Amino acid sequence: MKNKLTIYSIITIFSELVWIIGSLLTFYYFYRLLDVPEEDQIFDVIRSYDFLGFKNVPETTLNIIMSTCVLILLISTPLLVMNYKNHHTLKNETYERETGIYLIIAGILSIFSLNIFATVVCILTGITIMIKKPRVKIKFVETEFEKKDIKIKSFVNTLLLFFFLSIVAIIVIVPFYWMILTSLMSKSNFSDYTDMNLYLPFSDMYWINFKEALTKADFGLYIKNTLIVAFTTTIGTVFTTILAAFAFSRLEFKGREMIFTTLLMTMMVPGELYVITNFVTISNTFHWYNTFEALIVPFITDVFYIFFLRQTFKQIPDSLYKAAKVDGCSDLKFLMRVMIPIAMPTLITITILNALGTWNAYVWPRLVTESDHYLVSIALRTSFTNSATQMTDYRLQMAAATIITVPILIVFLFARKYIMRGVGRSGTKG
Amino acid sequence: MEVRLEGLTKQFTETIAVDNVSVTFESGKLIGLLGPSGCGKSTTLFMISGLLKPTKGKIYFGNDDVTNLAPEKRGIGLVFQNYALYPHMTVQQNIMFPLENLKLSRQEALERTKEMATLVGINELLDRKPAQLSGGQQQRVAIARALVKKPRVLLLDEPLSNLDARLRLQTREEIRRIQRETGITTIFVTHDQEEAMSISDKIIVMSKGLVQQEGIPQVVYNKPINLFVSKFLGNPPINTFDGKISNGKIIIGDIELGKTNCNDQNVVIGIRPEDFKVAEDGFEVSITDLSRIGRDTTVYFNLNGIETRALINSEEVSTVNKIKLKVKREKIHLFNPEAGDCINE
Repeated sequence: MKNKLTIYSIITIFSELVWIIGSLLTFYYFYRLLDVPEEDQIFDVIRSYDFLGFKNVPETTLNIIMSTCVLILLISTPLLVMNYKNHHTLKNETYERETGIYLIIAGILSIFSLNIFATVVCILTGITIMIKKPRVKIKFVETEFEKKDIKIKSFVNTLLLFFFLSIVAIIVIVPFYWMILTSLMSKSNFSDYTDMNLYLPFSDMYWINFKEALTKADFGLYIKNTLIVAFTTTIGTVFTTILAAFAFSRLEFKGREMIFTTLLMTMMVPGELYVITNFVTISNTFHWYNTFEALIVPFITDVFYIFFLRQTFKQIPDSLYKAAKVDGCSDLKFLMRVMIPIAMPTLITITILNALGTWNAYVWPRLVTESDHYLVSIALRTSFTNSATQMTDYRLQMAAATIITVPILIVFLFARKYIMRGVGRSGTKG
Repeated sequence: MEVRLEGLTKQFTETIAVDNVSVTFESGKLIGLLGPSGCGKSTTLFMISGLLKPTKGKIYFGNDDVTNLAPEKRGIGLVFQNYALYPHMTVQQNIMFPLENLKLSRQEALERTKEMATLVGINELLDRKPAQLSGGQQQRVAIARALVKKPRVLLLDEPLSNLDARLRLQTREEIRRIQRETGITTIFVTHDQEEAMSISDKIIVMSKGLVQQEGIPQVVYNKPINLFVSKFLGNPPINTFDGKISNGKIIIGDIELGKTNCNDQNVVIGIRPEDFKVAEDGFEVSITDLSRIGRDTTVYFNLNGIETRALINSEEVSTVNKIKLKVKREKIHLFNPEAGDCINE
């Protein structure tokens, strides 16, 4: 070990890792312990559990423990990722004064995850960095008056910016927050879906709802169905899109522009218009009602993606194609070795958007399937509605919604760059 | 490898880009295909490479008729104006790419790549991506990639036009050196007459799809066969005057320039700026402007209503605003005013 900071950073990362794994295991242990309530229980029964030698522990205590675990996970995981990224700069001593400030903030946040060990080490690292990299004083040549003016101006600007950003962030976050809180309410806590209640104490967070939601509906099957459809349509789409885009951008043939314009025109027709004709074709001609074919075959190509990829292909200079031709490169080899690698970012965007599209699809899958071929979105709509009373248990529905939103959020976090590219181009998709 | 074109013609839907061109590119020479933009020189080059199919005519490499051969079977190396390097590959992968289709062992391919990199002087850059290279370095990579297959003919399309002035001088010497070292027949297309004249063994001047003149640069420069060639070559450009021949004398306005034994007729007279000499028995002109650059001075004056430039040794120009000039007879070019052809005695 070359320096103190590297050791500190390893200790922090290690302690956070232990913390995260610990809380995950604890959560899982209690999750296994919880009993799913009987159907048609109108009011909550206060249940109690025995574990590890404790007797008659009320469910509310378990709720507190589990909520704390989740809180620890929510705080520690981003901190772990951040510290892991920082580790490199600390090791190579390429850090700035700002790194120290971030670390102190991280340390303070660690208090909320009850990880005292990480808190101490983080703040210690931060202070060490701040001592090593003292504030650099920049001397301004402006007069006192100008300097003050600029300072106030930039301060007000920043304040306004953060104010508006906060408002937008709240608008975006509140529905998710509401969804999660609803999913955690007990039957007695939940009065009505129009009633917006944005506070719930830890003791009233009933994590059992998730277990109940998962037992009530076979989400394993639905997620499997969705993954099968998403995977095959994405592979099919990428394959057809590459070939079509190559033809429309490189190959010279008669009527190329006409065919392409016709394809583009189909983009102007709203998808809802041909849902019925598609349904008739699929069910009467092919007899594919309630099969995977019905979910997959109509979606193994997409005009928008062809257009999107064609534009990327068109930007690749013609001279590359000619150079490859002189070197005896076939069209297919040129496509594989030159075009696809250059267009890789666009292809990743297409893959992600297509997979998300399947995850969100509703109208078509609802039309052509029955319960054994449901995708997650349909299951979400139908599984928690009592067929006799037509009453929907919104708590469980929200719990299931939370479960299927998480993968999307994770995809978004890792691939937001590619998603934004695609959304920026199309204006509406995604 | 000698390249011979016989009656080569390329017609695009409306226009005839190359019109019945028959020329020979001698083996082992560096030959410049020169002309203004749109004259068909690049089309000719692409037909030699095989990327374009000629409408009529034949192309021979030595004794082989390659007219209908695919580009990769002709044994050519082609360097594009924008270099056309594959942006996602390293320099080494770029240079090795043509060898992939040749069924060489990896060891041999690597050796050849090294050899070419050494030849063009980019040994230290093999692991970089094209975007990390300067224009001149990209140019060298493109040349190395064109040469790695050991082609019979090297074709360069406007190889210097994307470089800045200093690099252009350097790179053209570099191209000359590489051509000498490899002894490969090289054809390069350019619209810059200075570039072509400075490094070519032979130049072919084209205009409107036709070959105007071919030959050793200095000969073409000294004996242009028509008005177009005389105007296209030379910087500063040639001075042209409307004049006439009367009683065996060449006359511009009321100045007599010399004698000829041509018949009396109206002619266009071309005189290169550097062919004016200061002489006591010359004609007198009044200087309107002077610009002195070191050894040479450009003198501007009005000759029979035409703004004229003369390039004169600085020591011979005094401050007086009148000067007496003379032109040697053999330096006066006479052209037919309608056809633009050179009038020979």
